[in-house]
Amino acid sequence: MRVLDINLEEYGAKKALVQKLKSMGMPTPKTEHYRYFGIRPILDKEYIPYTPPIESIEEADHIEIVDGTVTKAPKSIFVEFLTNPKVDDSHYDQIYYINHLLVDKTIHFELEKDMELKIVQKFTKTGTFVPYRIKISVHPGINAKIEEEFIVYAEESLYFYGYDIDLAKDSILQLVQNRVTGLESFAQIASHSVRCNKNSEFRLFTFDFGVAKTLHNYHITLKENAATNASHVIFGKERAKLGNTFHIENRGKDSKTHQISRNILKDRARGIFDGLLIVKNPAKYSAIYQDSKTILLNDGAYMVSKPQMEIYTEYISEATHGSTTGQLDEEALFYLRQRGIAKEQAKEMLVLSFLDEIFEKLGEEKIKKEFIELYEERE
Amino acid sequence: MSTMMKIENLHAKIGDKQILKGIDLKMLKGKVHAIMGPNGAGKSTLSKAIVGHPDVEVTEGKIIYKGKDITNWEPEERALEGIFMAFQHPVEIPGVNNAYFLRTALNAKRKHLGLPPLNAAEFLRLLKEKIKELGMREEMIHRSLNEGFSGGEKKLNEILQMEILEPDFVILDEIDSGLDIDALKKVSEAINKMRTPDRTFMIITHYRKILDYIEPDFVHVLKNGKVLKTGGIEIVDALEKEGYKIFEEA
Repeated sequence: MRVLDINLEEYGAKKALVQKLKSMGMPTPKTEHYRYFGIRPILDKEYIPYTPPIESIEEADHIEIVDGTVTKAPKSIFVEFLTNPKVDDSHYDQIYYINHLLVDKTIHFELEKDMELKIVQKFTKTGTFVPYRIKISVHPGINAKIEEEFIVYAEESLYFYGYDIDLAKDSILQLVQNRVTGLESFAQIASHSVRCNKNSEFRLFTFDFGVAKTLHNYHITLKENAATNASHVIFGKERAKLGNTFHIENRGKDSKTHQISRNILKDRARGIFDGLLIVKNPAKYSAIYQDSKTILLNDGAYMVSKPQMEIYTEYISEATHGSTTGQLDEEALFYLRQRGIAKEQAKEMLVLSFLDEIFEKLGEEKIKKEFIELYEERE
Repeated sequence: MSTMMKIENLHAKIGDKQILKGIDLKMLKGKVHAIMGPNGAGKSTLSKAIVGHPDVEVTEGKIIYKGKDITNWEPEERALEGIFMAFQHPVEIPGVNNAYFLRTALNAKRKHLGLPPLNAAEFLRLLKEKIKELGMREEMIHRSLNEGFSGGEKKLNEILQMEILEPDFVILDEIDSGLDIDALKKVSEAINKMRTPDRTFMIITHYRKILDYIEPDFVHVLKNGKVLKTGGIEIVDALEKEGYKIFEEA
């Protein structure tokens, strides 16, 4: 099958989604958030279709999802499968709706108490198209942390997935997405929707390390006094295309968005940071901040950085955005070398210092170490 | 008296501009050599050529250090062999912790010398001792390298690095610039303590003041990319009275 051959008429039972898709059209190379990703060859390719089955779930201290099937979960997590989950009706990404159209059973996790949870996602199918979705409901007043880890074996495959996250009033969710992709032919398009209710906070850390082609599209909405704090690291090498796009909407008053992106690209890798922060008219006294910085380690590397803002209220407490792209600071590099530190080690120190703000904020040594290992795999 | 560094007919350019036009200079072990000269004379380019700064292209001539031709060595190779430059404008590197940086540098040097690395506790003990001697605030070692340091603190941090790394050949590139009298005294005292029969200093300066505190054994005057005059402290007195014109080439 080819994704481009999907016939909407076959999905009459999901009328609203079909209507939405008909009005939006299929994504094309000219669709703004796919413009730099090279979507056509991915959608145009022949794959073996695969529908993740529902299987019995083994008890474990973490959640394991293998090719869209939940295989392990802690007893304390309520897991169910939804046939008609509530869908975000204002997502900007067509693939969000295609993904929902193709998935009959959405995995649903309910977080009913404070917890730290690990989700291990394994991608094992070769030459296959795998669509699935995950819904997470965070109950009122709950403070939860989720760390998502990728293990990728799937070559020449395409995975569609995404989170639909509901943060109830006064809840906090920290989601760390540690996406290490070591196979060039692995492709993934993920469309996420996050609804932050009153006084809730969504902390997002994304780490895209590797050589694959992955694009994650996030639609985040914030009600009154809700906040999102998003930090992103992209380290792409070889012919990777790694990207994140966002529409973050401050819809309620006193809502806050703080977003930083640090990108390091080498070889012929391409990175994408395309973030639109929107402040709606009722969102008075909101604050938005966005900052993207990139280091290109060589001439062939390329970064698309598009921080953008749309503000529809006169009363805003902060609106700042910026973007820079450059190379490692030669004077700083020389300074370190003059103290006897070898050139490659000096470069590594500077790269780590560039990412330090995010690693510090996360306070998680494991991901930093993983990054160092990846960085040190020099040609 | 043995030679620490011999510079022979050194020509060097930065970009398209030829700056050094045949420098000949001998610097002796255990001695302090002051390099003076008007703006644009080539003082900083000379120091950059010695430490292997990538902006400087040596087009002719040699730099012989401890009997070895180091003209084409990488900067870190020169540093590991004992060449150290205290920068006029030390760079700020946010996110690189001062103590971590210094331990990395020291352990690179120890490895080069065939010595085992110092662990964090051993290093911290050494560092705290040096910091105390220099009268620096202890919190500076945990801050990012030079970030938010005052001009005086940056210079002291350069001296701290020098004390930790114990180099054999030290270039002080306008270490006196931007220092008030008290800071200048402090820096000079620290440098004087480092004077040994095995260590050579090359002090680049525009002013006499620092040479009142660190008495040079030799003074070399540079102009237009060449050494015009070599002598003792009397040269500084003459410069103060007459300016650089007295050493113009015939």
